[in-house]
Amino acid sequence: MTPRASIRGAMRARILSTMRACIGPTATIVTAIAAWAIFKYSFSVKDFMLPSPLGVARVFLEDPSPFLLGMRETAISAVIGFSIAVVGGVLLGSVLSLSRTIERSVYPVTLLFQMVPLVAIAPLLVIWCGFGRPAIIASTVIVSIFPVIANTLAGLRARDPKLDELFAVLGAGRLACWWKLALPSAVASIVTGLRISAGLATIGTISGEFIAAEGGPRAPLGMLIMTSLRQFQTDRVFVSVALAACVGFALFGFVSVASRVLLARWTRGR
Amino acid sequence: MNSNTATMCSLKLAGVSRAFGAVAAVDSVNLSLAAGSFTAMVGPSGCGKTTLLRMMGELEIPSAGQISRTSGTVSFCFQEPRLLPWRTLLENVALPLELTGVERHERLERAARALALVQLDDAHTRYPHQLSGGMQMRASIARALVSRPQLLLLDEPFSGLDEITRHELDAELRALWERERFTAIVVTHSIPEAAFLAERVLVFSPRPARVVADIATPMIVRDARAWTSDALAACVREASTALLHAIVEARR
Repeated sequence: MTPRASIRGAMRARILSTMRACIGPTATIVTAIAAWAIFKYSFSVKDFMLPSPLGVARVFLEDPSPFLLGMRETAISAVIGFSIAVVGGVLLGSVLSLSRTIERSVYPVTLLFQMVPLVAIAPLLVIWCGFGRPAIIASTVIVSIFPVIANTLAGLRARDPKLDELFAVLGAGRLACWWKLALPSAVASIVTGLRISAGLATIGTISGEFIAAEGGPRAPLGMLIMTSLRQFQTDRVFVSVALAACVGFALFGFVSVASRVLLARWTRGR
Repeated sequence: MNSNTATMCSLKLAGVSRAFGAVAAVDSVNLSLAAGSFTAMVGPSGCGKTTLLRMMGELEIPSAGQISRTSGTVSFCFQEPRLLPWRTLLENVALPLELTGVERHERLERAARALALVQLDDAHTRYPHQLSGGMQMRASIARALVSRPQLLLLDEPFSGLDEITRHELDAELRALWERERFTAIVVTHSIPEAAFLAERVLVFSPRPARVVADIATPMIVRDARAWTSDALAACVREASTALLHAIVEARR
């Protein structure tokens, strides 16, 4: 078999196995929606308490544009915030790895920072950044940067000391050691951090939007949820929540696929 | 037995010792190694020969004594290939040049030439895990040679390989040295290997390492490949026997 044919065969096998893997979750979702509908109609729950699945779908399909616009806004904030968290987290993790002293003095503080509930900081973000995108992005970064820092640090620390010695023999400087040895060695660990942080990013974005988003025609999903809640339009809340979940899922899916491609190259023979 | 003057001297050790805590690994070694010579260091396992080699390569600092050498590039060949798994063979071999800032086009060209020296012409784009242990070791030697070292330090470079591959690589190393004439120092456990490779064999005592015998092996091989296998085998056998005698004598 030629290499290309074998790659195509492997891809077909992967698509088939992915499809097979989707059957179970799809069945679960369908069952859950059915249970939801049965519960709603058999106990005649009021619409503002629990809308029907069909009602939720109708609200969305009648006028999808505010939801889709909101989704776009949320997605933009989530992607920008996540990207900043990735670059910043890798850089910060690298700086921390430069010396034990720096690590010992700064790392516990980042841990402490992680423990502060976002909801408690969010009003401060509004004071510092004002209402709108910057505060929302800041909230995304705060929530999602920590796993990147921690995993970068762990990965950089775990490199093969024998390769360190090789670089020392070759007279490599600190920057070269970081860029050509430490960082490539840490890729697998960093990618794990990215996966965790991709899941968290959307949470940070929506939380930020609860407090710092501006209303109007380009209101993001977090804002839509809040305004719909105030008007007891629970069906609209459901739509927004579902779309927010889609944003999170898309980000996570993208990172997973990208990391698989990256890892295929990086972890050869390990 | 070594009558080289200081100016010819590529490497000179004066009273070099190394201790790890209370354990002495190397005990006041005096040596003078001529430029362009091929020296083997043999001795029991764990006697400190590797520590001595590492001090020569500045991987380790002597506790006492001095190592002086004439300026020039030094390459170190480890016991394991130590290739970067995420790089192709060509990129791996080009690494030393990359780190010293040689421009990309030139370094890849030189890396390709170094790979040709060790018969790996057709493996440029392969990754380390796609290669056998022998091929990885060859690549590691190519990486050591790519910067055209004046001094090549080899730490039991072929000890992990099967006999046949090992012999092949020994012959290649020897031929490379004939051609390039760098100063080579190899640590080995194998007496036939020492006899085959080196012009001069240093025998070390158990720890702490001290030179107990300094033996000139007959220059058996001018160009190992030009010899018939019978003649070569006889010669290595003879040299090994002589070496073994000398080692046993030195122990008395």
